[in-house]
Order: sequence, then structure tokens, then C-alpha cells
Amino acid sequence: MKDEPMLLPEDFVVNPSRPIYEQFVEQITARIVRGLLPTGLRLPSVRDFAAGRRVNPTTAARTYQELERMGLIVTYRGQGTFVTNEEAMILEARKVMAKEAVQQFKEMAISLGLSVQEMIELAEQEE
Amino acid sequence: MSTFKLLAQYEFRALMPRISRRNILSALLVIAFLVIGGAFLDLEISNPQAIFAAGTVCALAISMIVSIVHVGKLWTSKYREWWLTLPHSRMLLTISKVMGLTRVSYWIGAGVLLISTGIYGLKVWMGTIDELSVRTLLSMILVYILFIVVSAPIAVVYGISLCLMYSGWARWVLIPYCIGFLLPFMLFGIIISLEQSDLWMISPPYVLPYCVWIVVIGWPLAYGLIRLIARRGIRSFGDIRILSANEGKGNQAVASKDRQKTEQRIELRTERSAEHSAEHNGVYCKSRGFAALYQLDRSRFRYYESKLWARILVGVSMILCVVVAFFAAQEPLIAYGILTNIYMFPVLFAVLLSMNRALIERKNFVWWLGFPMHRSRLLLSHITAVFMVTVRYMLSLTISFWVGVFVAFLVGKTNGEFLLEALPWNVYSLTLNIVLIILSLSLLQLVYFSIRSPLLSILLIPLYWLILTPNLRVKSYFYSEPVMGMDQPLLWGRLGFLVLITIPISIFCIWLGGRNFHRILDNGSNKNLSLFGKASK
Amino acid sequence: MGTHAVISPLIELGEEAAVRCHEVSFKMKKKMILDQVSFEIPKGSITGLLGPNGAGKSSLLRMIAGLSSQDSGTVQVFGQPAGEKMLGKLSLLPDRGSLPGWLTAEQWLSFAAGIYPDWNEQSAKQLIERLKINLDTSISAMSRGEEARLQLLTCLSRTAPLIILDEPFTGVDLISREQIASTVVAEMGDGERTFLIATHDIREMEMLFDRLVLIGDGQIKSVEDVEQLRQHGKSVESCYREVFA
Repeated sequence: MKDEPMLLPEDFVVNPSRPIYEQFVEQITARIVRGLLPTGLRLPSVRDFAAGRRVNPTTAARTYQELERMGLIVTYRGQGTFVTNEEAMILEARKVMAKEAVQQFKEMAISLGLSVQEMIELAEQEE
Repeated sequence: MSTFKLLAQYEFRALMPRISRRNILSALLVIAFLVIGGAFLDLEISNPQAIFAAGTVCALAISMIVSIVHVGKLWTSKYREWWLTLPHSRMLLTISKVMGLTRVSYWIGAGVLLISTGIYGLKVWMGTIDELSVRTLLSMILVYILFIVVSAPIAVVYGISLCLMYSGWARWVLIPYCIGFLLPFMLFGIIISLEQSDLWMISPPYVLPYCVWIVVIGWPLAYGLIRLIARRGIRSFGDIRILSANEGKGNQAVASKDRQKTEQRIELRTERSAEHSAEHNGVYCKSRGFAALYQLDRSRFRYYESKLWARILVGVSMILCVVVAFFAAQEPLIAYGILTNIYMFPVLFAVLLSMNRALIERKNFVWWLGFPMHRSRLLLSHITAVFMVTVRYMLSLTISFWVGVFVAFLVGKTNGEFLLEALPWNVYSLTLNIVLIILSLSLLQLVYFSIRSPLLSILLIPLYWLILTPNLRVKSYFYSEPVMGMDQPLLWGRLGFLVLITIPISIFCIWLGGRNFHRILDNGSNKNLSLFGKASK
Repeated sequence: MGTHAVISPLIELGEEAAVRCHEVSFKMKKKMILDQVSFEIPKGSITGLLGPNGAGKSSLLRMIAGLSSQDSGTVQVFGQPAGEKMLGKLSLLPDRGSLPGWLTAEQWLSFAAGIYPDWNEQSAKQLIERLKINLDTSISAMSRGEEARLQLLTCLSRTAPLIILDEPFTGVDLISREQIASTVVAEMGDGERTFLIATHDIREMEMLFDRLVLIGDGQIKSVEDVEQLRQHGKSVESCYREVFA
């Protein structure tokens, strides 16, 4: 039982001021992309997920809904929910994550008044 | 010194509400009721001195009870911890408590003497009693005031010394303690039945020396008790071992052992009751609905019945009964006395138990009220449970009585004639008391109706008085007293009448109580819901 | 206090309302405990009843459970007026109530099975394991957390569609609190059950509520949909602060 990977990290703190399902989706997506949740892994039921994390079952349900919409998980009737086997979807998600990270990086650069290149050089400067 | 004054003031205020217009009004009403009731009480008192003496003893008994209840409630009081951590000597704490309680006792004494005066006055006006000269009357009142002044502190100290008897071998001291507790009640009875020729014992010239003796002997003893309480008694309030037995905060070591047992138990249950559902529910309750509720109410009493001290009490009383019956079989008059009085204590016990239900079951009520059944059933279940406990006890006393009689018969100390005479009396007395219990318990359910308004709760007082003192009326109506002896005819007709009126009254009371039972959850002053509600804070 | 817009006012839920209160007022000893209280609770939701001490939460819950009656206004549970008859359809976990102290947990559960007609033995067994109840401990010897869990077990082992919890976390240790919270979630039963929970422990329940009713001084201050709150960047806690601080 202990070898089964966690759907979400134990110490993941949820920000109560944002929709919770969004945060869950982000975290789970990241873990799938990183391979922490391998393909074909069986996910806990909505009920168990909600109970384990002590969140409203609707939140858990929406999380799964969203992930399924993104194509990262699939539900087989009568069998359960699994991480998708299709590599393409995961790569797609990875691309989206990368784009978002870069976007944030660019915004940070602008707020510092630097260009992207300048920011990287600044950071790698030896003391 | 001022801390002491403050503390004493606090203790007093904790027990006695502030004087306000409403309080005075209700107090006067109560006094008026008691005066009228007392005056019409046919106790055959032809002497005014007996009234005042009895009243005095009554006041002392009440102060003792107030002190005992106060100490008893201190164990679970919200303010206990705060009080214990006051940075003052334990002696100061004890004495201030004694002072506060004594002040309350003085108020009680004043009230009782006022009532006695009222009764005296009313009886004089009615012509049932001789009038005393103003001088005699005044001197008598003054003397009894003095008596109360010197005795009240002792009664109070006796009451709070209960806290010394909470653990270990000290619990055995409870037995002589209880006997001492009965002293004022016995005195009360004696005073009321004093012959004219013995009245000198309570006349003012003799009461004065009593006061002196009390001060000389009683006060040093009381002081010694106070020191003992300060040293050892107060500590028991903070003793964790005793507290956790009361409040029940478990510890982890026990818990983990229980958990292993529980896991095994769950496995067993899963195997066993896979097929069966309700029938195999637990080892303890196999019934449904009302029967289950009754079992639950009954289990409360079963728990206390199984305690060692309860068994000892019952056992001792049964043995006493056997012994007394043995001698009674030889003396018909004693047998008569026993048969008519033997069930008095169980009945009183049942009534007190039910009267204080709100006190005892306070925290469980909200669960009971959540049970999906009619409220009147909740009340009926409670009444039935109390009834069963009491009747069981009454039956054991009855059996003990007949064992004693039978032994006397075997030994030849009595004859068959006595047996034939005593049997119907026993049946009569038992039936009478059973009906009385049913009637009293049902009437007590009206208390929930009285929560609706303070006016109605005042009406409770005469009701309680009626229920707590049935003996006085019972003796004259059902036993054709004052003529005593078993050669009197048994008044089956009157008993039948009682049974007939009990049925509709009980049904009505239970129904009305059931409709109002939920009011007990409404917060606020539920001061009349228990007999000792006023004495507690 | 500021102007706080009520995001979702009284919705006409009709048949879908588990609880409906309409202009409920209740006075006791000259003090207005509840003043024209109106709100609805949809079926299958976990609704939080939040408010400071003395706001009237307990009185309101008792009224919904049918233990007290209101002076004016109507209280309906599943379309029927609240009262003794509806006791079979709801399960109340009272605030500051004790189970019979002289019984062990197992004995109490056997009585409960007999007294509550909708008792579900299967659920009870599962919950005993989940909530880690020691069957052999006497109730008076239980710690607060343990008794709280046993009380919750008693409520949830019934198939009543409305569960009312009055301050289930008061004085309860962390682990017990988490177990209670996760059990509440697990027992939702796909929207068959409605939970109405009055609590001060906002942190613990922050993630569970999907609906809030905020009550103060006997009046409804606000009724919120939690998801909408979060869409607007507010948490349950910040909403509470806004209304009551």
C-alpha cells in the first residue's frame, strides 16, 4: 500500500481563496507530466479522494471532470478511473505547462524592467 | 482580612440570589403556602412550643442539606478550578465557605421561624391551640433564634465535611455520617410526638443550656473539622484520580489495549452477523422501539444497582428487615408499624429520583429528545424504569420480612394466626404504596408543563410538598389511624377508589408532560426542575 | 462591516430544499434569539451555519430538528413542517450533550440499533473501523475526542437524509477532527444526504462547505455559495471576517 504513489503530495497546502478544483487540477497535471503518477495508474474513486483530502465531493468530482476534459485521465465504466495511456495527451499537457511557466517568467522580466535574455544573464552572474 | 470578607461575601452570593421585588413576592407566596399548609396539617400538636422547636430543627436540617448538596456539586462545578487556584491558605477558603453557608442558614432559619410564627398565629386564630402570653412567645422565639445562631455553623460544617469521605478507607466513615445526618429528622419526629408531660425538654429554660453546651462542645469540634477539611478535604477536589473517575478522561494505554480487543471483536461480529441483521444486534439489547428505550433507561439503574455500595445498602437493609420481622412476629403492634412504614423509604427514594431527573440526566436529555418517538413515551419509559427498580426493592424487603416471620414461626415464637393476620395487611400496604408510586411519579411529570411560566412553577411547591409527605395523609385515610393495630378492617374500598383516580390522572399527567418535555432544553433559570436547584450554582 | 453583497439570495428551490425556514422568530425572556430568519438548504449539500457565540445557531438547529418550536414563521424539512414526526428523517448531533456514561460503546450501539428504526448495521461497522472506536470503553471514561467520534457514529449509522451537526469539533483533538471531517465527506452518499453543520472551526471545514449561512444576533447576515466565493478570490474565512469583523 505504501508503494502506491500519492495523488497529491501530503503537504500540499490548498489556498482557500481560489477554486480548489483548479489547484488540484494544476497539481495533478504537474505530477502526471513529471511521471510521478505513471500512465495507467488507477486513481482513487471520487469519494475516497474527497474523504482522504477532506474536501467536498463536488470539488473532487469537478477535478476529475476537468482532468478528463483535458484528456489526462479516463474513466472506464465499472472499472474506475485511470491515468491515460496516451503519451500524446501528456506531452500536450507538458507543453501547456512549459508555456505557462515561460509566460510567468516573461512577466517577471517585464516587471523588473529587463528583457528575457538580460534576466537570465543577471541570474547566472558569478559573484 | 478584607480578602476573607470578600470571599465570604462571594460564597454567600453564590448561593443566595439578590433581593428583588420578584424574589420577595415569590418568597412571600411560598411562605404563605407553607403557613397555611402547616396550620391545617393534622399533626395533633396542641402545644406551641413544639411548633417552634420542630421548625428550628427543620431549619438546621435544611442548612445541613444545603451544605451537603453544595459540596456535592462542587466536584463538577465550573468554578472549582478557579477557586482551588486562589493564592490563599486553604484554611481561609474553608472558613469563608463556612461563613457564606452560615449566612444562608441564618436566612433559612429566619424564614422557618417566620413560618412557625405564622402557623402558630393561624392555629391560635383557628382555636386549635392555646395562646401564649406575648412575653412567653417573645422569649421563646428569642431562645430559638439563639439556638439557630449557635447550631447553624455546626450543621454547615457537618454538611461540608462530606468532602473528607471521598476516597479510600474514609468512605466507610460515610456510614456513621449518614446516621448523624438522620439526627435532625429523628428529632423532628420526636418533638412532634412529645407528650404534654415531656414538653419541659424543649421549653426555653432548657434550651438555653443546650445552647451553652453546643458552644462549649460543638464549636471546638466544628473548628477541628474545619482544620481537617482545610488540610485534607480541599485537596480531594483537586485530586486527579478522583476527578478523572468522575469526569472520565481516559488514557492512551488503556485505549490501545481496548483497540486490539475491538478489532478482534469486529472480526467476530462480521463473521457471525453476515446473515443476520437486527436479531444479533449486540449482546445487550435485543429489542426494538419502546422496549429498547425502556431497556436503556433501566440500564442506568442497573449500573448503579451493581455497584458495591448499593449492594451493601440493600443487603444490610434486608438483613435488618429479617431481624426486625423476627421480633415483630411476636408483637402484633410492632408488626403493624412495620407493615405500614416499611415501604416508605423505597417510595421516597423513587420520588426523589424522579424529582431530580433534570439534575441527573441533564446532559442526556438532548439525545433522548432526538429519539424518533413520542415524548410521552420517553416519560413513560422513565417512570417504568424507576418503578421497576423501586418495586424490586420493595419485593426484596417483603421477602425479608416474611423470612423473619417464618423463622419466628419455626422457632415457635409465633403462631399461624399471626401469619393469617399479617398477610392481607402486607398485600394491602404493598398495593397501596405501588399505586402511590405510580401516582406520584406521574404527577411529577407536570414539572415540564410548569416550565412555561414562573407562575406555574410556584404551583409546583405545594405539589412537591404533597408528593414528599404522603405518610401524613396516608395514615389517616388508608389506615384508619390514629387507631392502630391489625385488628382494624382493611379499607379496600378506599384503595380501590385510589386506583380508579390514579389511572386517568397518570394518563393526563404523562400526556401533558410529554407535550412540554422539550421545554427543558430552553436555557434559563430552571430552578424548580430539581429539588436542590436553588442550592446549586 | 462594509457593504457585503449577498451573492446568492434566497433561491426558490422548491422540491429540492432539504430545509426551508421562512421568517422564523423566537423570543426568550425578552431577548430576541431569532429574528425573521429565512433561508433554504438544497438537498445533497454540505451547508455551514457560521456565526459568533450567541448568534442563535443552536436554537435554530434545534428548531429545525423539531426539539423547540418557533414563535412565528415556518420551518420545513423536506417539505413537511418540522417537529416530532420528522425526527425519523433527521439525525441531530447535539452541542454539549452526553451519551449515557454508564454504558460501553458497544452497549450503547446495541441500544441505538433498537431505538432508531433506520439504523444501518453495515454502516455502523464500517464507521467503527473508520473512526477507530473502542467498543469496550465505558463512555464516561472516553476522552472528548473519542466521545465526539462515537456521537458522530451514532448519527451517521442511520439512513436519515438530513444530518445536523452542532459544533462537532469543540474541544476535539486534531486527529479526531480530521477523522470526523473525512467521515462526513465519505458519508455524503452521492448527494443523497444533506449536512448542516454549525461550527466555529472554519479552518477544518473550509474545504468541505459548498454553501454558507452566516447568522449573527439572531439575523441572517448572508447566504453564500462557496464555489462562487472562490471564483471571486474569497475564502470562507475571509467571508466570515468581512461579515462579522
